[in-house]
Amino acid sequence: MEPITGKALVLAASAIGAGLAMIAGIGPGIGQGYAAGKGAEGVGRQPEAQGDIVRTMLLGAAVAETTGIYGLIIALILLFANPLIGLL
Amino acid sequence: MSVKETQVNILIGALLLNGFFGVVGFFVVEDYFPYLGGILFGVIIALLNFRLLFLTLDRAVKMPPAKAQAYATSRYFIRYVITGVVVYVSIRAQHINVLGTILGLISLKLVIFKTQLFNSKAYFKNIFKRKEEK
Repeated sequence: MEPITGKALVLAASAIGAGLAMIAGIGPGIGQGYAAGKGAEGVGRQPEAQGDIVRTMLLGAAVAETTGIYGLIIALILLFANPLIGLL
Repeated sequence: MSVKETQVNILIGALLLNGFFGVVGFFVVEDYFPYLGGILFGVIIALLNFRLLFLTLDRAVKMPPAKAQAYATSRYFIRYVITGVVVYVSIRAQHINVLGTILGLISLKLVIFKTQLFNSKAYFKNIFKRKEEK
């Protein structure tokens, strides 16, 4: 059996790290869905406030979405442009 | 302020901020044109995603709450995949700088903070004001 090389270890750890980073993408999805559900309830209760509700939700959702993008970027960089391999 | 005005303000703000990033990059980044391409690519996708988000939410609020929840979540994952493809392409393509793309994608958040949250001068003045002062 071949011994584990440093490069293989870094690649394996990077793959695990990328998987963990992708968890960050789930949260905003759940949060946005929850907000949209509550927004729909609000519009049902007060239809004239639709513009305000959509506007507030739009800004909140756009900020939340960026948080998911951070995780995605980390995962993709670990997988396809890993800077750690160059350090070996 | 209406939803349309908000969107236009954010669009203008994003273009201005990324123009600023482009000018700063001219003095800081060695390989300038891939960086500029990255910023352009990133900001276009970020603005299109923002428009898609508006269309999703505008439709979701007219649905029953449970359906709206599932709809908004499923659409979020579609946008997430689009962003993933964009970042992957910018990593793979030699003529697009990935840091520029990331900057373009994230600049929307900075613009929203600037135009909607930190838009009052009184807020900044009050940070350094002691509560005991009258």
